[in-house]
Amino acid sequence: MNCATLERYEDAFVDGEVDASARIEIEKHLASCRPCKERLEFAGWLKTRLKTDAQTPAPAELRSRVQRALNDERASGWARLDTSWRATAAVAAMALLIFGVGRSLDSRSGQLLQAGVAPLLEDVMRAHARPYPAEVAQGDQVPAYFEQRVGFPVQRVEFGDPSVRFLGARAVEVGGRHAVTLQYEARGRRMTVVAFRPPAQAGDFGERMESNGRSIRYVRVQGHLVPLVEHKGVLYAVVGDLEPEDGIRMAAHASLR
Amino acid sequence: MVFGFGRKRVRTTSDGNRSGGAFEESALEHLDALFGAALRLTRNESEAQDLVQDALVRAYRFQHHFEPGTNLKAWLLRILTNTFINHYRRTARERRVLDVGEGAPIGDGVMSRSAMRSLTDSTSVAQEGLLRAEIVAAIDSLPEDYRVIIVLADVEELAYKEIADALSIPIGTVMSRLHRARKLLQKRLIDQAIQMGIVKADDASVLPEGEREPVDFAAYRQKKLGVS
Repeated sequence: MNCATLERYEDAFVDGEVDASARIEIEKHLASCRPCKERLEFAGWLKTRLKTDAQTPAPAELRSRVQRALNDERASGWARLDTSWRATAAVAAMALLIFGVGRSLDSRSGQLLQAGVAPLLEDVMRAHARPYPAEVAQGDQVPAYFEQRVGFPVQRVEFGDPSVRFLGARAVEVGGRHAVTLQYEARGRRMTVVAFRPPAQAGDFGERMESNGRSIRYVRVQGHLVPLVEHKGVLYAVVGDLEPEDGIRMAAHASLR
Repeated sequence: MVFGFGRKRVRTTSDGNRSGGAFEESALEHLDALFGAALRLTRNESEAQDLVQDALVRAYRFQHHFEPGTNLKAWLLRILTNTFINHYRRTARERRVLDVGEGAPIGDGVMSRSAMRSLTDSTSVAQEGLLRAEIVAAIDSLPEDYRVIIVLADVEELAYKEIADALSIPIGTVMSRLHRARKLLQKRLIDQAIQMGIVKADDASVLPEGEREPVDFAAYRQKKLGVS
Protein backbone atom coordinates (compact mmCIF):
# COMPACT_ATOMS: atom_id res chain seq x y z
CA MET A 1 0.00 0.00 0.00
CA ASN A 2 1.45 3.38 -0.98
CA CYS A 3 0.28 6.93 -0.30
CA ALA A 4 -1.63 7.36 -3.54
CA THR A 5 -3.55 4.13 -3.07
CA LEU A 6 -4.24 4.78 0.56
CA GLU A 7 -5.70 8.15 -0.20
CA ARG A 8 -8.42 6.54 -2.23
CA TYR A 9 -9.50 4.42 0.72
CA GLU A 10 -9.41 7.21 3.23
CA ASP A 11 -13.20 7.50 3.42
CA ALA A 12 -13.82 3.77 3.71
CA PHE A 13 -11.18 3.60 6.44
CA VAL A 14 -12.63 6.32 8.66
CA ASP A 15 -16.12 4.94 8.04
CA GLY A 16 -15.07 1.54 9.34
CA GLU A 17 -15.94 -0.02 5.98
CA VAL A 18 -12.69 -1.87 5.29
CA ASP A 19 -12.25 -5.48 6.27
CA ALA A 20 -9.71 -6.73 8.77
CA SER A 21 -6.91 -7.66 6.37
CA ALA A 22 -7.17 -4.40 4.43
CA ARG A 23 -7.15 -2.53 7.73
CA ILE A 24 -3.89 -4.24 8.60
CA GLU A 25 -2.38 -3.16 5.26
CA ILE A 26 -3.47 0.40 5.88
CA GLU A 27 -2.24 0.49 9.45
CA LYS A 28 1.09 -0.89 8.36
CA HIS A 29 1.45 2.02 5.96
CA LEU A 30 0.33 4.57 8.55
CA ALA A 31 2.95 3.37 11.01
CA SER A 32 5.66 4.52 8.65
CA CYS A 33 4.07 7.49 6.89
CA ARG A 34 3.49 10.63 8.91
CA PRO A 35 1.62 12.67 6.24
CA CYS A 36 -0.90 9.89 5.64
CA LYS A 37 -1.28 9.33 9.36
CA GLU A 38 -2.01 13.02 9.93
CA ARG A 39 -4.45 13.15 7.05
CA LEU A 40 -6.38 10.16 8.34
CA GLU A 41 -6.36 11.53 11.86
CA PHE A 42 -7.83 14.72 10.50
CA ALA A 43 -10.49 12.80 8.59
CA GLY A 44 -11.36 10.95 11.80
CA TRP A 45 -11.42 14.19 13.76
CA LEU A 46 -13.78 15.78 11.23
CA LYS A 47 -16.08 12.77 11.23
CA THR A 48 -16.34 12.93 15.00
CA ARG A 49 -16.94 16.70 14.97
CA LEU A 50 -19.70 16.32 12.40
CA LYS A 51 -21.45 13.83 14.63
CA THR A 52 -21.11 15.71 17.89
CA ASP A 53 -21.60 19.24 16.56
CA ALA A 54 -24.73 18.46 14.59
CA GLN A 55 -26.46 16.83 17.52
CA THR A 56 -29.41 18.88 18.67
CA PRO A 57 -31.81 17.47 21.24
CA ALA A 58 -35.42 17.44 20.10
CA PRO A 59 -37.46 20.26 21.66
CA ALA A 60 -39.79 19.03 24.40
CA GLU A 61 -42.89 20.01 22.46
CA LEU A 62 -41.92 17.76 19.56
CA ARG A 63 -42.38 14.63 21.63
CA SER A 64 -45.90 15.53 22.69
CA ARG A 65 -46.71 16.73 19.19
CA VAL A 66 -45.64 13.40 17.71
CA GLN A 67 -47.54 11.48 20.35
CA ARG A 68 -50.69 13.44 19.53
CA ALA A 69 -50.24 12.80 15.83
CA LEU A 70 -49.78 9.08 16.43
CA ASN A 71 -52.85 8.96 18.63
CA ASP A 72 -54.88 10.65 15.87
CA GLU A 73 -53.48 8.18 13.43
CA ARG A 74 -54.46 5.30 15.64
CA ALA A 75 -57.96 6.70 16.10
CA SER A 76 -58.36 7.16 12.35
CA GLY A 77 -57.92 3.44 11.95
CA TRP A 78 -54.64 3.01 10.18
CA ALA A 79 -53.38 1.16 13.10
CA ARG A 80 -52.31 -2.32 12.66
CA LEU A 81 -50.71 -2.21 15.71
CA ASP A 82 -49.09 -2.36 18.81
CA THR A 83 -50.17 -5.89 19.30
CA SER A 84 -48.91 -6.86 15.89
CA TRP A 85 -45.60 -5.14 16.62
CA ARG A 86 -45.06 -7.39 19.59
CA ALA A 87 -46.52 -10.37 17.80
CA THR A 88 -44.19 -9.90 14.85
CA ALA A 89 -41.19 -9.94 17.12
CA ALA A 90 -42.48 -13.02 18.87
CA VAL A 91 -43.17 -14.81 15.58
CA ALA A 92 -39.71 -13.95 14.33
CA ALA A 93 -38.27 -15.32 17.54
CA MET A 94 -40.28 -18.53 17.15
CA ALA A 95 -39.12 -18.86 13.55
CA LEU A 96 -35.55 -18.67 14.75
CA LEU A 97 -36.18 -21.38 17.29
CA ILE A 98 -38.08 -23.69 15.00
CA PHE A 99 -36.04 -23.36 11.86
CA GLY A 100 -32.73 -22.89 13.58
CA VAL A 101 -31.90 -19.80 11.58
CA GLY A 102 -30.01 -18.70 14.63
CA ARG A 103 -27.01 -17.35 12.80
CA SER A 104 -26.71 -14.61 15.35
CA LEU A 105 -26.76 -16.60 18.53
CA ASP A 106 -26.04 -20.22 19.08
CA SER A 107 -28.26 -20.65 22.07
CA ARG A 108 -31.50 -19.29 23.38
CA SER A 109 -31.76 -17.01 20.40
CA GLY A 110 -35.52 -16.77 20.66
CA GLN A 111 -35.51 -15.52 24.21
CA LEU A 112 -32.69 -13.10 23.57
CA LEU A 113 -34.28 -11.76 20.42
CA GLN A 114 -37.49 -11.14 22.26
CA ALA A 115 -35.68 -9.34 25.04
CA GLY A 116 -33.94 -7.17 22.43
CA VAL A 117 -30.55 -8.64 23.22
CA ALA A 118 -29.85 -10.37 19.90
CA PRO A 119 -29.87 -7.20 17.76
CA LEU A 120 -27.95 -5.48 20.51
CA LEU A 121 -25.22 -8.11 20.43
CA GLU A 122 -25.05 -7.89 16.65
CA ASP A 123 -24.41 -4.18 17.02
CA VAL A 124 -21.72 -4.96 19.59
CA MET A 125 -19.97 -7.12 16.99
CA ARG A 126 -20.44 -4.38 14.43
CA ALA A 127 -18.93 -1.80 16.77
CA HIS A 128 -15.80 -3.93 16.83
CA ALA A 129 -15.77 -4.74 13.13
CA ARG A 130 -16.32 -1.12 12.10
CA PRO A 131 -14.29 0.96 14.52
CA TYR A 132 -14.95 4.68 14.36
CA PRO A 133 -12.32 7.24 15.31
CA ALA A 134 -12.02 7.77 19.05
CA GLU A 135 -13.55 10.81 20.75
CA VAL A 136 -11.37 10.50 23.83
CA ALA A 137 -7.80 9.25 23.74
CA GLN A 138 -6.94 9.50 27.44
CA GLY A 139 -8.24 6.66 29.60
CA ASP A 140 -8.63 8.82 32.70
CA GLN A 141 -10.95 11.20 30.84
CA VAL A 142 -13.40 8.41 29.97
CA PRO A 143 -15.73 8.60 33.02
CA ALA A 144 -16.19 12.37 32.97
CA TYR A 145 -16.54 12.59 29.20
CA PHE A 146 -19.16 9.90 28.75
CA GLU A 147 -21.33 10.00 31.84
CA GLN A 148 -23.36 12.98 30.55
CA ARG A 149 -23.46 11.74 27.00
CA VAL A 150 -24.64 8.19 27.60
CA GLY A 151 -26.38 8.57 30.95
CA PHE A 152 -24.48 5.92 32.90
CA PRO A 153 -21.00 5.67 34.42
CA VAL A 154 -18.34 4.15 32.16
CA GLN A 155 -14.81 3.29 33.14
CA ARG A 156 -11.77 2.18 31.25
CA VAL A 157 -11.26 -1.53 31.74
CA GLU A 158 -7.75 -2.49 32.90
CA PHE A 159 -6.39 -5.87 31.93
CA GLY A 160 -3.25 -5.95 34.06
CA ASP A 161 -1.28 -6.84 30.95
CA PRO A 162 1.43 -4.48 29.64
CA SER A 163 0.92 -5.72 26.09
CA VAL A 164 -2.62 -4.29 26.09
CA ARG A 165 -2.68 -0.66 25.03
CA PHE A 166 -5.69 1.65 25.36
CA LEU A 167 -6.30 3.50 22.07
CA GLY A 168 -9.38 5.57 22.79
CA ALA A 169 -13.11 5.60 23.38
CA ARG A 170 -16.23 6.66 21.52
CA ALA A 171 -19.97 6.88 22.06
CA VAL A 172 -21.98 4.54 19.83
CA GLU A 173 -25.39 2.90 19.83
CA VAL A 174 -26.09 -0.77 20.23
CA GLY A 175 -29.62 -2.06 19.74
CA GLY A 176 -30.84 1.53 19.93
CA ARG A 177 -29.22 2.02 23.34
CA HIS A 178 -26.39 4.33 24.25
CA ALA A 179 -23.05 2.61 24.57
CA VAL A 180 -19.34 3.39 24.68
CA THR A 181 -16.65 1.49 22.80
CA LEU A 182 -13.27 1.27 24.49
CA GLN A 183 -10.67 0.44 21.88
CA TYR A 184 -7.50 -1.46 22.69
CA GLU A 185 -4.60 -3.06 20.96
CA ALA A 186 -3.29 -6.35 22.28
CA ARG A 187 -0.19 -7.87 20.68
CA GLY A 188 -0.88 -6.19 17.37
CA ARG A 189 -4.55 -7.16 17.35
CA ARG A 190 -7.53 -4.98 17.95
CA MET A 191 -9.79 -5.52 20.90
CA THR A 192 -12.95 -3.61 21.67
CA VAL A 193 -14.82 -3.40 24.94
CA VAL A 194 -18.40 -2.26 24.48
CA ALA A 195 -20.05 -0.83 27.60
CA PHE A 196 -23.84 -0.63 27.75
CA ARG A 197 -26.73 -1.02 30.14
CA PRO A 198 -28.63 -4.17 29.18
CA PRO A 199 -32.44 -3.97 28.90
CA ALA A 200 -34.07 -4.94 32.19
CA GLN A 201 -36.13 -7.69 30.58
CA ALA A 202 -32.97 -9.39 29.31
CA GLY A 203 -32.22 -10.83 32.75
CA ASP A 204 -28.97 -12.58 33.45
CA PHE A 205 -28.39 -13.84 29.91
CA GLY A 206 -25.32 -15.75 28.80
CA GLU A 207 -23.42 -18.71 30.21
CA ARG A 208 -20.57 -19.03 32.68
CA MET A 209 -17.18 -20.69 32.96
CA GLU A 210 -14.32 -20.65 35.47
CA SER A 211 -11.03 -18.92 34.74
CA ASN A 212 -8.37 -17.47 37.03
CA GLY A 213 -10.56 -18.48 39.98
CA ARG A 214 -13.33 -16.21 38.71
CA SER A 215 -16.66 -17.15 37.25
CA ILE A 216 -16.70 -15.51 33.81
CA ARG A 217 -19.96 -14.77 32.12
CA TYR A 218 -19.99 -14.96 28.35
CA VAL A 219 -22.31 -15.16 25.39
CA ARG A 220 -21.85 -16.70 21.96
CA VAL A 221 -22.41 -14.33 19.04
CA GLN A 222 -21.78 -15.07 15.37
CA GLY A 223 -19.42 -17.87 16.32
CA HIS A 224 -17.48 -15.63 18.70
CA LEU A 225 -17.26 -16.14 22.39
CA VAL A 226 -17.84 -12.78 24.02
CA PRO A 227 -17.01 -12.39 27.72
CA LEU A 228 -19.24 -10.01 29.67
CA VAL A 229 -17.87 -8.18 32.68
CA GLU A 230 -20.46 -6.49 34.88
CA HIS A 231 -19.72 -3.39 36.95
CA LYS A 232 -22.30 -1.17 38.61
CA GLY A 233 -25.14 -2.31 36.37
CA VAL A 234 -23.10 -1.76 33.22
CA LEU A 235 -22.05 -4.66 31.00
CA TYR A 236 -18.64 -4.57 29.35
CA ALA A 237 -18.56 -6.95 26.38
CA VAL A 238 -15.04 -7.91 25.33
CA VAL A 239 -14.73 -8.48 21.59
CA GLY A 240 -11.42 -9.09 19.90
CA ASP A 241 -9.63 -10.72 17.06
CA LEU A 242 -8.48 -13.17 19.73
CA GLU A 243 -8.61 -16.87 20.36
CA PRO A 244 -11.64 -17.72 22.56
CA GLU A 245 -9.47 -18.80 25.50
CA ASP A 246 -7.48 -15.55 25.28
CA GLY A 247 -10.66 -13.55 25.44
CA ILE A 248 -11.83 -15.39 28.53
CA ARG A 249 -8.39 -14.98 30.10
CA MET A 250 -8.50 -11.25 29.39
CA ALA A 251 -11.90 -10.99 31.04
CA ALA A 252 -10.68 -12.99 34.02
CA HIS A 253 -7.97 -10.39 34.62
CA ALA A 254 -10.15 -7.37 33.90
CA SER A 255 -10.52 -4.77 36.61
CA LEU A 256 -12.56 -1.61 36.91
CA ARG A 257 -11.83 1.02 39.48
CA MET B 1 -37.13 6.99 -5.69
CA VAL B 2 -39.87 5.51 -3.60
CA PHE B 3 -39.70 3.82 -0.30
CA GLY B 4 -41.24 0.39 -0.64
CA PHE B 5 -44.42 1.03 1.25
CA GLY B 6 -47.36 -1.22 0.70
CA ARG B 7 -50.71 0.53 0.66
CA LYS B 8 -52.72 -1.93 2.67
CA ARG B 9 -55.00 -0.01 4.91
CA VAL B 10 -55.96 -2.14 7.82
CA ARG B 11 -58.86 -1.23 10.01
CA THR B 12 -58.67 -2.22 13.58
CA THR B 13 -61.73 -3.31 15.43
CA SER B 14 -60.81 -3.18 19.06
CA ASP B 15 -58.38 -0.38 19.39
CA GLY B 16 -59.10 1.71 22.41
CA ASN B 17 -55.50 1.96 23.44
CA ARG B 18 -54.55 5.60 23.94
CA SER B 19 -51.32 5.14 25.75
CA GLY B 20 -49.07 4.57 22.78
CA GLY B 21 -47.61 1.18 22.11
CA ALA B 22 -44.47 -0.77 21.55
CA PHE B 23 -43.84 0.80 18.17
CA GLU B 24 -44.29 4.31 19.46
CA GLU B 25 -42.09 3.64 22.45
CA SER B 26 -39.26 2.20 20.37
CA ALA B 27 -39.50 4.89 17.72
CA LEU B 28 -39.51 7.77 20.19
CA GLU B 29 -36.20 6.57 21.61
CA HIS B 30 -34.71 7.87 18.37
CA LEU B 31 -36.44 11.24 18.50
CA ASP B 32 -33.23 13.21 19.14
CA ALA B 33 -31.43 11.48 16.29
CA LEU B 34 -34.34 12.08 13.93
CA PHE B 35 -34.63 15.71 14.92
CA GLY B 36 -30.89 16.30 14.57
CA ALA B 37 -30.96 14.84 11.06
CA ALA B 38 -34.14 16.74 10.14
CA LEU B 39 -32.67 20.01 11.34
CA ARG B 40 -29.61 19.65 9.14
CA LEU B 41 -31.71 18.54 6.17
CA THR B 42 -34.26 21.36 6.38
CA ARG B 43 -31.99 23.93 8.10
CA ASN B 44 -35.08 25.26 9.79
CA GLU B 45 -36.37 24.33 13.20
CA SER B 46 -40.10 24.38 12.58
CA GLU B 47 -39.76 22.58 9.27
CA ALA B 48 -37.57 20.02 11.01
CA GLN B 49 -40.33 19.38 13.53
CA ASP B 50 -42.87 18.94 10.72
CA LEU B 51 -40.55 16.55 8.96
CA VAL B 52 -40.01 14.39 12.04
CA GLN B 53 -43.74 14.23 12.67
CA ASP B 54 -44.54 13.34 9.04
CA ALA B 55 -41.85 10.69 9.00
CA LEU B 56 -42.99 9.08 12.25
CA VAL B 57 -46.63 9.00 11.13
CA ARG B 58 -45.52 7.27 7.93
CA ALA B 59 -43.37 4.88 9.89
CA TYR B 60 -46.34 4.12 12.11
CA ARG B 61 -48.53 3.33 9.11
CA PHE B 62 -45.97 1.01 7.65
CA GLN B 63 -44.53 -0.47 10.80
CA HIS B 64 -45.37 -3.97 9.57
CA HIS B 65 -42.72 -3.46 6.89
CA PHE B 66 -40.05 -3.16 9.52
CA GLU B 67 -38.09 -6.35 10.03
CA PRO B 68 -37.66 -6.97 13.75
CA GLY B 69 -34.05 -7.44 14.69
CA THR B 70 -32.77 -5.01 12.04
CA ASN B 71 -31.66 -1.48 12.76
CA LEU B 72 -34.78 0.54 13.69
CA LYS B 73 -32.93 3.86 13.69
CA ALA B 74 -31.66 3.23 10.15
CA TRP B 75 -35.18 2.32 9.04
CA LEU B 76 -36.66 5.48 10.55
CA LEU B 77 -33.92 7.63 9.00
CA ARG B 78 -34.63 6.05 5.65
CA ILE B 79 -38.26 7.10 5.93
CA LEU B 80 -37.27 10.55 7.15
CA THR B 81 -34.82 11.03 4.28
CA ASN B 82 -37.33 9.90 1.68
CA THR B 83 -40.03 12.09 3.16
CA PHE B 84 -37.62 15.00 2.95
CA ILE B 85 -36.57 14.27 -0.62
CA ASN B 86 -40.09 13.70 -1.89
CA HIS B 87 -41.93 16.40 -0.01
CA TYR B 88 -39.54 18.98 1.32
CA ARG B 89 -37.09 19.56 -1.48
CA ARG B 90 -37.00 23.23 -2.01
CA THR B 91 -36.31 24.10 -5.56
CA ALA B 92 -35.41 22.37 -8.75
CA ARG B 93 -32.45 24.70 -8.92
CA GLU B 94 -30.94 23.30 -5.77
CA ARG B 95 -31.37 19.81 -7.11
CA ARG B 96 -29.61 20.68 -10.36
CA VAL B 97 -26.44 21.70 -8.56
CA LEU B 98 -25.67 18.05 -8.13
CA ASP B 99 -26.74 16.99 -11.61
CA VAL B 100 -24.07 19.29 -12.92
CA GLY B 101 -21.55 18.58 -10.21
CA GLU B 102 -21.49 14.83 -10.00
CA GLY B 103 -18.78 13.30 -12.10
CA ALA B 104 -17.01 16.58 -12.77
CA PRO B 105 -13.74 17.18 -10.92
CA ILE B 106 -14.12 19.23 -7.77
CA GLY B 107 -11.14 21.31 -8.72
CA ASP B 108 -10.05 22.00 -5.19
CA GLY B 109 -7.33 20.13 -3.45
CA VAL B 110 -7.10 18.62 -0.04
CA MET B 111 -6.24 20.57 3.04
CA SER B 112 -2.59 21.20 3.89
CA ARG B 113 -1.19 19.49 6.96
CA SER B 114 -0.56 22.67 8.88
CA ALA B 115 -4.12 23.84 8.20
CA MET B 116 -5.41 20.52 9.53
CA ARG B 117 -3.34 20.91 12.65
CA SER B 118 -4.53 24.47 13.19
CA LEU B 119 -8.13 23.26 13.09
CA THR B 120 -7.75 20.20 15.30
CA ASP B 121 -5.61 22.07 17.83
CA SER B 122 -7.90 25.07 18.19
CA THR B 123 -8.80 24.32 21.76
CA SER B 124 -9.58 27.65 23.40
CA VAL B 125 -13.16 27.86 24.61
CA ALA B 126 -13.93 30.80 22.35
CA GLN B 127 -12.52 29.07 19.30
CA GLU B 128 -14.30 25.87 20.24
CA GLY B 129 -17.70 27.56 20.13
CA LEU B 130 -16.91 29.26 16.85
CA LEU B 131 -15.68 26.03 15.37
CA ARG B 132 -18.84 24.22 16.30
CA ALA B 133 -20.95 26.91 14.66
CA GLU B 134 -18.73 26.77 11.59
CA ILE B 135 -18.99 23.03 11.26
CA VAL B 136 -22.76 23.21 11.39
CA ALA B 137 -22.71 26.09 8.89
CA ALA B 138 -20.43 24.07 6.63
CA ILE B 139 -22.93 21.19 6.56
CA ASP B 140 -25.73 23.65 5.83
CA SER B 141 -23.79 25.19 2.96
CA LEU B 142 -23.64 21.90 1.04
CA PRO B 143 -25.91 21.26 -1.93
CA GLU B 144 -28.80 19.09 -0.86
CA ASP B 145 -27.65 15.67 -2.04
CA TYR B 146 -24.27 16.15 -0.44
CA ARG B 147 -25.90 17.33 2.74
CA VAL B 148 -28.10 14.23 2.84
CA ILE B 149 -25.11 11.94 2.51
CA ILE B 150 -23.11 13.73 5.24
CA VAL B 151 -26.09 13.56 7.58
CA LEU B 152 -26.55 9.83 7.02
CA ALA B 153 -22.87 8.85 7.03
CA ASP B 154 -21.35 11.19 9.59
CA VAL B 155 -24.05 12.68 11.77
CA GLU B 156 -26.04 9.44 12.04
CA GLU B 157 -23.25 7.00 11.25
CA LEU B 158 -25.19 4.64 9.02
CA ALA B 159 -23.22 1.97 7.14
CA TYR B 160 -22.69 2.40 3.37
CA LYS B 161 -25.17 -0.41 2.75
CA GLU B 162 -27.81 1.29 4.86
CA ILE B 163 -27.27 4.59 3.05
CA ALA B 164 -27.43 2.86 -0.32
CA ASP B 165 -30.74 1.27 0.70
CA ALA B 166 -32.12 4.51 2.09
CA LEU B 167 -31.34 6.49 -1.05
CA SER B 168 -31.81 3.66 -3.57
CA ILE B 169 -28.38 4.27 -5.06
CA PRO B 170 -25.44 1.86 -5.52
CA ILE B 171 -22.74 1.69 -2.84
CA GLY B 172 -20.21 3.06 -5.34
CA THR B 173 -22.32 6.18 -5.70
CA VAL B 174 -22.56 6.47 -1.92
CA MET B 175 -18.76 6.41 -1.76
CA SER B 176 -18.07 8.89 -4.53
CA ARG B 177 -20.77 11.28 -3.35
CA LEU B 178 -19.50 11.08 0.22
CA HIS B 179 -15.94 11.73 -0.92
CA ARG B 180 -16.98 14.83 -2.82
CA ALA B 181 -19.20 16.02 -0.01
CA ARG B 182 -16.30 15.82 2.42
CA LYS B 183 -13.95 17.68 0.09
CA LEU B 184 -16.51 20.47 -0.30
CA LEU B 185 -16.98 20.53 3.44
CA GLN B 186 -13.24 20.82 4.02
CA LYS B 187 -12.94 23.63 1.54
CA ARG B 188 -15.72 25.57 3.18
CA LEU B 189 -14.25 24.93 6.63
CA ILE B 190 -10.81 26.11 5.69
CA ASP B 191 -12.20 29.28 4.09
CA GLN B 192 -14.15 30.03 7.23
CA ALA B 193 -11.25 29.14 9.51
CA ILE B 194 -9.06 31.66 7.71
CA GLN B 195 -11.64 34.39 8.21
CA MET B 196 -11.92 33.46 11.87
CA GLY B 197 -8.18 33.56 12.27
CA ILE B 198 -7.95 29.93 13.37
CA VAL B 199 -5.91 29.11 10.30
CA LYS B 200 -3.34 31.45 8.73
CA ALA B 201 -3.91 32.10 5.05
CA ASP B 202 -0.33 30.97 4.29
CA ASP B 203 -1.02 27.60 5.84
CA ALA B 204 -4.13 27.04 3.86
CA SER B 205 -2.52 26.42 0.52
CA VAL B 206 -3.91 23.22 -0.81
CA LEU B 207 -2.22 20.27 -2.35
CA PRO B 208 -3.38 19.24 -5.79
CA GLU B 209 -5.83 16.42 -5.58
CA GLY B 210 -5.32 15.03 -9.05
CA GLU B 211 -7.68 12.50 -10.46
CA ARG B 212 -8.36 10.57 -7.32
CA GLU B 213 -11.79 9.10 -6.71
CA PRO B 214 -12.60 6.43 -4.20
CA VAL B 215 -12.90 3.05 -5.80
CA ASP B 216 -14.59 -0.14 -4.82
CA PHE B 217 -12.56 -1.70 -2.06
CA ALA B 218 -13.46 -5.28 -2.79
CA ALA B 219 -12.32 -4.88 -6.39
CA TYR B 220 -9.09 -3.30 -5.23
CA ARG B 221 -8.40 -6.10 -2.82
CA GLN B 222 -9.00 -8.72 -5.44
CA LYS B 223 -6.49 -7.06 -7.65
CA LYS B 224 -3.90 -6.13 -5.12
CA LEU B 225 -4.23 -8.03 -1.89
CA GLY B 226 -5.66 -11.27 -3.14
CA VAL B 227 -2.86 -13.21 -1.54
CA SER B 228 -2.89 -11.81 1.97
